[in-house]
Amino acid sequence: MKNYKSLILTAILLTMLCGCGDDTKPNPENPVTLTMWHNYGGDMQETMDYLIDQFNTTKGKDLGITINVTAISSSSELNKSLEMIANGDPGAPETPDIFTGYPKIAVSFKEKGLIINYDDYIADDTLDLYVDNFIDEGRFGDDGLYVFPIAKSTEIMYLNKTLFDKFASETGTDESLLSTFEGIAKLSKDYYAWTDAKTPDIKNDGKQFYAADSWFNFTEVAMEQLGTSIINEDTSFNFDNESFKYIMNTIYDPAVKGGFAIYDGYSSDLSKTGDLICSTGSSAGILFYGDTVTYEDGTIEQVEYSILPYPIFENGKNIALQRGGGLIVSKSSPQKEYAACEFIKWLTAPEQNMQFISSTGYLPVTKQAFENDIKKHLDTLTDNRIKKMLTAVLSMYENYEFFTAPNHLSFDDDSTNFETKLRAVLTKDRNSFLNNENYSFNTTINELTN
Amino acid sequence: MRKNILQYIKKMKTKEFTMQRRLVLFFVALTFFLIISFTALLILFGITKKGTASVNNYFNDKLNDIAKTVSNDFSQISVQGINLAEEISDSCDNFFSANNISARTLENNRNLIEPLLSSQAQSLINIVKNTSCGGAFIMLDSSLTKHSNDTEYYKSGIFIKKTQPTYTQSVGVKLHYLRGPASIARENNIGLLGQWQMEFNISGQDYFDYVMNTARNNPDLPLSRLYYWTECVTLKGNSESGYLLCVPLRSYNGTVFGLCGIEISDRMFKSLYSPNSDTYDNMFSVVATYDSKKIYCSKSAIAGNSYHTGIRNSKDFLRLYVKDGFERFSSSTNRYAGKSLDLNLYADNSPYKNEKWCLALLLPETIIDEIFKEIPAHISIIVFIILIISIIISLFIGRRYLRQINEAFDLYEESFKKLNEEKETAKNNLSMAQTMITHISDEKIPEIDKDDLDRFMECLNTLTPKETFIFNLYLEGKSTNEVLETANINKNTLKYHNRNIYSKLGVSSKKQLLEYATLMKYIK
Repeated sequence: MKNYKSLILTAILLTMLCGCGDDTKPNPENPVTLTMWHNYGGDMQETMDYLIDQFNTTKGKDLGITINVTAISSSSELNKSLEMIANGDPGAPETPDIFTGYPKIAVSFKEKGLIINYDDYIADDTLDLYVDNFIDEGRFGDDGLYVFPIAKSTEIMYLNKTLFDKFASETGTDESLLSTFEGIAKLSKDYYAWTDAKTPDIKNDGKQFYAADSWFNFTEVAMEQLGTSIINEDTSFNFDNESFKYIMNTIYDPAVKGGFAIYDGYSSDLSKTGDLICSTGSSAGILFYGDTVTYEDGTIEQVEYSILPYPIFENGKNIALQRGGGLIVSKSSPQKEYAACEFIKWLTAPEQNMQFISSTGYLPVTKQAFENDIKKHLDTLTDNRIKKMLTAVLSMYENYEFFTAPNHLSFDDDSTNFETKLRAVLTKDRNSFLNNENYSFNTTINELTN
Repeated sequence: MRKNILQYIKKMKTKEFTMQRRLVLFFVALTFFLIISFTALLILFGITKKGTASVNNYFNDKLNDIAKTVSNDFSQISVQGINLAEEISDSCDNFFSANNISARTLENNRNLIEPLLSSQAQSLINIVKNTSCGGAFIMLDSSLTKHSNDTEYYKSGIFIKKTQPTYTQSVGVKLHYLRGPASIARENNIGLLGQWQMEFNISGQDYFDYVMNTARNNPDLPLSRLYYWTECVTLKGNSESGYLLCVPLRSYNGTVFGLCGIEISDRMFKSLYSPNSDTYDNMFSVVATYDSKKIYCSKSAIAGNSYHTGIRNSKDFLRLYVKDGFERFSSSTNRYAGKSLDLNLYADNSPYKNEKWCLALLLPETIIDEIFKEIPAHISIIVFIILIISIIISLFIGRRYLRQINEAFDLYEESFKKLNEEKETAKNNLSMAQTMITHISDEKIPEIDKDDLDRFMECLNTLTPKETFIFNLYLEGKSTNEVLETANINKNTLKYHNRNIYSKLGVSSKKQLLEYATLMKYIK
């Protein structure tokens, strides 16, 4: 009888406990919908859509979590909207619950207490499953982890092998020059001259050989390769050193006299029309390179691209930039914050992460996927472009050190200003060259650094 | 345990258990009767079909809601497309005039095609930025280049796409360049998509010629009657498909020289027309042309929660039959069930008015069948639960109300038992008394003369009736007063009779008389 009473009492208590529930977690009876902005557009969007749909109909459904993507755009476009939110600008859109971004955008959100610290939601043993470097990139010192890695990329070199081989076979060019920026600068001038010579009656109509998607990234990594840093400890630019002048000098001549394209857009645009045959940019940009070149007269030529490791400056260290933002979660309610972390853990788990990288060209972020799964997975890839890119990137991870951009508050603005200024001064001098006007490296450097 | 079972079996045979069982059986039978009656009433009044009706209503409501949105959006985009065509046609006429050519002679002035397209790029950019759409395009009936053998399939033009189709505000909207001369993209600072090509290749796709020829054959119809919606098509060399609104470009002199339009892309379709059903994950909607035999789903975008969304159906859906209010369809690999509603995309006097479009809301057939199985299953479960509860209640009532009767039985049994025990005790007492008497008699007999006793017994016959009466009263143990009263005589008369009795029987006192009488009784 005594046992019988205890049993009833336990049942009542359990029922009461169940009734109380845990209001920090969603459930199917009390679901949450999270808004999300991401920058995986174009060909990558279908994969992201697929994964989000899969989450919504499987784990999300079980946990009462629905992800609703409300904006897909480029990182720069998203950043504009996010900056409006962070600054409290009038007309700023509503803050999404989850958004992709680089640490630099997370800084201003973190300063205003608008985003969560993942350390409060994700256990250490779970974080141990991720590649340490990738986690560290989103960690703001002792303050906590604010940007969670989803997929990473680095910078690599794209080479239109078909066009390069034509040039090399006619001029006897040594392909090994492609491994250094000094070599690329020489090749660029040679290529410009070679293409210019094809129409002797039109002067200076040669084709550009090389462009960097971001000249700031180019300079930043070059400084690291040469053993210094473009950012001083006080976050100001470190222009007053020989390495910086050497780097600028290397790019100045081909940019002004022809060979380096100073183009306000992605290098892949110029590559598609045969206006460029070599470029450095994000490994995730692979899908923007097709397998044809369409010339101005409408002629289409089938071409093959080579993916090469990121070049280095002579006597420099093998250093490349590690790129790829992460997922940032806005502060909202405990339920939503918990739900966002559950989604992120699911999305970055090896199975989902491998699906994502297979069709996008990014690198996975878990140790298991990065160290084991990806190598096994290479043979099964159907997109040859991604296969080539991953092979090159994996070899870089064996031979290179990776450098991540600083994330102080003014970094984004400073880097954008530098990029704009550099493009402007080089374009001005290029035009001066074309118009037979005076131009000077020293003047330009002074203009750039002051 | 075995002992308990044996006891239970034994108990079952008892009268008490049989009675309880009969009572329980009575209640269970009553419950059965009530449930059957209740179910019969439910069926009679069609209440069991209520679940079916609610599923049907749910589908109808969803279908009507989405159909309304689709109709509004397609109509609105049609109007915007017509305005765009009018604007571009006027602008092109100005261009032709400024360059001393006509729409008809554009093909012979290829060098002017790129400037012409360049002059129209801003109109497309504006419409893409300000309209909820996947993109906008212009296609001219001419090619920038002279291709070796299939020139007629190449059409010059521009196609500008938007990464986020449903966004119309300036922040967050990113434009991409899918088709057109790269120089125009660079002029307008628009990045080329991975699938960028300089010209449209329309080989294997007949919508261009269809719209152009229809417009040429109907010179008197306004553009508002000449617009055409393609089925969901994928441009050659592109990965994403979409419904293209095509509106002819017509010069002031009636020359049809190209077409322009707006795209509802796969992605846009999914964003806007997904059923978003919390109840049915696999529900999806399609907008497609149809006839009496098929819905042409292989040329339709799909919108739905399930992650099969985005993948086009490879086959059309063959109409099968209607069951439970849902139309059944078959594709080559799967079967679906759902409902459809007509969409009116064209005006009555449009040359395309005979093209029938519908919005269909569908689920895999197995899911619909499961839903309809679930409804009677629910009722069966409820009836079963009621039955179990009734049996439990019957058992409870049986036990509770039979208890009093059982208690009465117990009381009766106890009294009966007590009575028997008392009877047995009395018997034993009597036996003991008789033994004692025998014992006493055996002891006394030697003191009484056997001859006297014999004479006593023989002489009893000599007593008169009155004396015998009195003698018997003494034998019954009556006292003197009782004898006086019973015999209704006085004391002297009794003394008289006593003397006679004593004398005849040979005894000297009443005591001796009783001793002899007791012995006589014992002997008898």
